[in-house]
Amino acid sequence: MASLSQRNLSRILEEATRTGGDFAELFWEDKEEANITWSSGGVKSVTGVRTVGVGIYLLKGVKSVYVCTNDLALPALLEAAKRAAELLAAGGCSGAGVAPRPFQALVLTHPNPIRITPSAAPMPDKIQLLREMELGIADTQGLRQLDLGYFESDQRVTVANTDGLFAEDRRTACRLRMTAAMEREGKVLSRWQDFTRPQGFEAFDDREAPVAFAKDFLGRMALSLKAEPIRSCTVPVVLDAGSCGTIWHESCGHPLEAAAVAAGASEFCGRLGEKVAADKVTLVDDGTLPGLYGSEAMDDEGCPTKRNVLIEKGVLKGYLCDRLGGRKLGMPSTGSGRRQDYTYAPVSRMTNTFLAPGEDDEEEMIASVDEGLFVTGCGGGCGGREFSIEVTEGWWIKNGRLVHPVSGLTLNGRGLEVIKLVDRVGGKLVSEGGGFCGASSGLVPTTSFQPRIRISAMAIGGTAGQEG
Amino acid sequence: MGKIELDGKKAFAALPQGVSKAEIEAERKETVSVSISGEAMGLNASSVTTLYARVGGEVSGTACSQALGQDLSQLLEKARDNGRWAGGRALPFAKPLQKTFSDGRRPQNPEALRELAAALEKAVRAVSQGIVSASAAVSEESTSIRLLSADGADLQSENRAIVAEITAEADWDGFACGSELTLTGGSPEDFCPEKMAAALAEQLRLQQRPGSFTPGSYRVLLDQPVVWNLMLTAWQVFSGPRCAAKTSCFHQMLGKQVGSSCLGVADYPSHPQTGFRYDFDFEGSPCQPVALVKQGRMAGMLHHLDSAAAFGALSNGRAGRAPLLTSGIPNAYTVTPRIFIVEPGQAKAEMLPELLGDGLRITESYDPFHCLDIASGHFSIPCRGILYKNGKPAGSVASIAIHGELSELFQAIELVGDDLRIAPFLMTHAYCVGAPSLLVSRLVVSGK
Repeated sequence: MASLSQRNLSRILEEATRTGGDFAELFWEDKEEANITWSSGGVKSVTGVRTVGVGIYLLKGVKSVYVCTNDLALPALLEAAKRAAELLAAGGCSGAGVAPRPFQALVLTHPNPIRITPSAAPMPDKIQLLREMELGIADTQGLRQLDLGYFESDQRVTVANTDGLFAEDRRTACRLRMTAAMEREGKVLSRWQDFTRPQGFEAFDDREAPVAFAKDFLGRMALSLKAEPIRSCTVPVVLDAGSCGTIWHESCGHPLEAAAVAAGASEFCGRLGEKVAADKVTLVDDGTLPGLYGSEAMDDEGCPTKRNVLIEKGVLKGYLCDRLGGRKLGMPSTGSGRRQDYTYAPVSRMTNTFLAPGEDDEEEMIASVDEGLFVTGCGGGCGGREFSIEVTEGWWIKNGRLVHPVSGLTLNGRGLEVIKLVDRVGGKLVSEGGGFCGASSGLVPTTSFQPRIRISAMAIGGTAGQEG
Repeated sequence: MGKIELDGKKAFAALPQGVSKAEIEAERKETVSVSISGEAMGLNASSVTTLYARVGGEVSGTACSQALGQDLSQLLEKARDNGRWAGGRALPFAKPLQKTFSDGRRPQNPEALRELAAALEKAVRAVSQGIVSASAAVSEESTSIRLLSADGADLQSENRAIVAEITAEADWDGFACGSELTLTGGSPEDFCPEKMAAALAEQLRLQQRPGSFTPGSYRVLLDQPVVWNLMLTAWQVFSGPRCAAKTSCFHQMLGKQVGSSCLGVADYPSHPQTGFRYDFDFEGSPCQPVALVKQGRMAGMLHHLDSAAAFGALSNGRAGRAPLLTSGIPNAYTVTPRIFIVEPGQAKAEMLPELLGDGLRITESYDPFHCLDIASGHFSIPCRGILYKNGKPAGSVASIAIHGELSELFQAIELVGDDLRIAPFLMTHAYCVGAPSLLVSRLVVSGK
């Protein structure tokens, strides 16, 4: 935000609050992204995207105004602030607003420090990564189509508000995306997976890691093509450690966001302090964890990220709040105000959501099941009162043993019912690479993970024996 | 809004070395929105202009930026430099056209949007005693596009659309549920708050405390929102690039039967039921109406210049840009639909539950993004519904899922409802999808 002095910043905030706003914030973003696509032995495209803009956020009680523009000249920014003030007035507000306090810079330590800025790494090195990945899997049987993508993202944000906050953050990440279509005995499957690192180009210091990722991805696809159909039934479900933690993101995370709670759209409304889950369930959202994709020094409202215990030993302890959501609930921000970019107002969102480890034996969870499902890979899902998760890989359990792979299923249920049925939680917490969560403030990077767990009974959708 | 001032003369007069063809497109999106939920009110206004450049010649490449005031020559150079790494793959360029399109709509006063939002919220609160919370959001979305090329193309378009969304939470004797409804139009007068509220109330009424369910093969009525959710991603089976790459389950089906004779699917540049309009794509090709399925037979695909060439056809103006992961600026070359719809049928929608007889009415589905494999056509969609006996409701069911192959589902369609509803794609509103209800002879349903 080099072109804007703190004096002019104050002028903009002052202009915004002149119709009675009790809080104003300016969010400045400058993001550079680059993408290389690789297909059939060569580079298909190289693209660069620069996103630059400003969002002005104005609050008066639980009324809010958000104005954004990518015209960054001072007169345009003052005009945007004036527009925000006019919109607030149009919403029925008037009178003198809050005066901006002198700025104090917030000093933050970033959980994901960067060694090699991605844009500084030579283009041939990035292309070589993709070439090596393709060569590493050249002998894969049944591969019908393979597309590889390299992405880098370097976002700088500045938040300044009428409380005198002035905070800056830089979020950098690199990613390889693999999209494949595979065929086996007339069955075709298409799937994609990402190798995500919240790092600079040092993410690829270990050149073997992307190839190993590619081989593992295709191996899992081949296994899915051998999957056998199962009957619809209600059985115990074991979800493996790591990314199967998506279940927590969908079943509890979204309903614990202030936006859902304030709208009355969550079954967790008004239940703070109540027992809502099995004793073994302690659920945490923590944006401070080093090396994880959902971590940031601060949220997009300049509030330092923190560890938020949401459920402790089955008892509901808290919600995820942004500033406005917190106002609606009468609670402080939990450092959870996030947004995809400056075109969105901040909304309460998850960061790294995980189930705390327990003490149960991981092998026993499977060995003690007569008939059930062992989920080893989850795709995406959706949350709300009813949640659903795509099961991309799993195994059918019979008499305590894994008997055949299964795939293409969905797990769905009512979150509040399912989390009461957790009867085993393993001791080994395994994190994951992370992905994007999409909601009303766009896509934000998150992780969701867990130790291996068991749910005593879930309905599984299957098609075997129902063709007639 | 108004015409975009874009002067490419200087940049086009001295093209970067190695470049003989060049295009610059400016796209300005302006949105004003008002949301109301009880005491809480949100007002948003945005104005974002993005510049896109494409160059061809010895080197072909693309670049884009939101840094306004940037020298357009630099943007062309950036596109050329990006292209240097791309192995000389040529980008296609359309015949240069000069045309200006405008829907002639005037911008709305924010007060008119606020009034509509307030009327909608009030109507939702009043429509049923069981409703415990309601919200309404109304936005005016204006898009201005100007495309210039070194060959003399100068295309301009302006479009304004209104999007109205209502949501409600209800409590039916201790059973909590929620629903939402989105419609689009050309002006606030296109929306009837009472009708919208009644439609939402009906969606809520269909949600009741679930009972037990026996999995199996059922005669099924897919309500309009369920078909809409499916079509949100299913349009990709008609994608020309996917068909060329054989990653669509319909890749060899052109001219063949892919559904029952009552199925029609099309993609339009405009439609009376939505305020959105699409005049040309970013390659400068006019956006034509495309029949994709006619009487159950696959009749077309969605093409940009590249994919059309692969089939010896002409572009129908569907070049689109997909987002690069989190970027707010979509920039990956692909095809996208514009107003993709399952054509409405003659069957009165209100008669379909009775015509279902004994079966399952699927009233709501979840997660449109992870339930359909475009390559195989396999779907597994979580949903909820109501069992019917002799055309009468016989109990709610939840946490169920429908399974099958897309072509099997299309072939099993017996009747198509007359209740077409069109809404923009979630969040980005990059295109619209429309669907009516479908009565299907058989579908596998799982659950407990």
